[in-house]
Amino acid sequence: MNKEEARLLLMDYIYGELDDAKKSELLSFVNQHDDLKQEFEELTETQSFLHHLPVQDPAEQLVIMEPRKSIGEGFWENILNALTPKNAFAQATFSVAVLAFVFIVTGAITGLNISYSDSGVQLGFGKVSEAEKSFSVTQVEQIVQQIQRDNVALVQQVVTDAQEQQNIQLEQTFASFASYLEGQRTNDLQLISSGLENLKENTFTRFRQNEQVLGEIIQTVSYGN
Amino acid sequence: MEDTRLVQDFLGGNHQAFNTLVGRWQNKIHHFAYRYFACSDDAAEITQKTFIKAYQKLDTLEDVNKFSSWLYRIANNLCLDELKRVGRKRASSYETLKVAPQTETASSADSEVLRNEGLVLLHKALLQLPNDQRVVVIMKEYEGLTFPEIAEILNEPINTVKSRMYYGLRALKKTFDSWNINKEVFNYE
Repeated sequence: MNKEEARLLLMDYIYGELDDAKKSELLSFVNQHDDLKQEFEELTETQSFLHHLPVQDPAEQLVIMEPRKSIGEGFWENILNALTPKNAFAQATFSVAVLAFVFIVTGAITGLNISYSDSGVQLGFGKVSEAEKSFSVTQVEQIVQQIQRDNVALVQQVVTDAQEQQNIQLEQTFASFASYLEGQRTNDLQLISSGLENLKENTFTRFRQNEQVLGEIIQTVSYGN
Repeated sequence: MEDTRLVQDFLGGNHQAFNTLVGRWQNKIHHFAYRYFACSDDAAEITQKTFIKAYQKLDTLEDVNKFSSWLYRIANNLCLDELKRVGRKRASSYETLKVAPQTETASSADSEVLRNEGLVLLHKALLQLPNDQRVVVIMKEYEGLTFPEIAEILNEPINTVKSRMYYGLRALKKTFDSWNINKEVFNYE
């Protein structure tokens, strides 16, 4: 026996689950080891404290089961439980399959007829009459006349729209040209005004130069005399 | 009538037999859950869930002689589920454990106060144990189950169960020492 085994046997001993032979062996081993003896006393005391913990009983019976349902209901519930899958994906697949089954059975009973053509899907119950596929001469003439009337109206509308569009574009062109001419005239007047201003300035500059030269000549002549 | 017979009667269609089983076992399951959570409401809820699950699954019990172990296993699993679900919230609720109101006369007031405080601390100490140790201590100390029975319920080796019991008692001893709880707290007249 080692100490670890002794500790496990100590649990059996404290709770009275150790036979006499093992008990003697354990007590003998414990008496030879002071640390185990100390543990034994401490654990026994600790265990004795635990007895004092109070507890509460429930005030009444917490669960009362009702009688089971009738045999028939139980039978169908069992079948449903057995058939119904447990995980979400399987349940979704099962639901789709059931819906498809119900749809097919209902269709078979009510004579559901589904057909598909270029003009679309056709649903009906029972025997569906075949749609008419040809027109009479009068109907054709009426259709042609209607198409012609529609064409004439359409062409008139197109021409009218084109003329209106043309007029609008022409007015916009004239307005642009007038605006261009006005701009040109303004530019020319500004150029002429600028030229006159330059001429005036040049003339004034020449006058001053002439006066300066004349002044120098007069001064030279006066000092010379 | 023995549990085995009641289980067989129930499986034979006698639902009243199950109500008898409930009456016989609900206090034990309630005590177990109460010591697990230190809360009457939680204990009642766990007890109800345990019996509802037992009612639904009793036909899957392979050995009717092991009904009690099977029932404790259900209760223990439900307690663990509950701990996982609201573990943090519950940890704070432990703090609400209070000393019971005093109604004793002056002559015995001091010892009664001491004892009530000791009981509260005792419960707190139990709640502080790791779950695997606490369940073994509760089953052994309060439910009176043998180590082989606990091992079967928890589906663990017997030595593992004993080891958890040993370390559980050691941890409790350490806690009691740190809180100055000794035999004088409980040994009063």
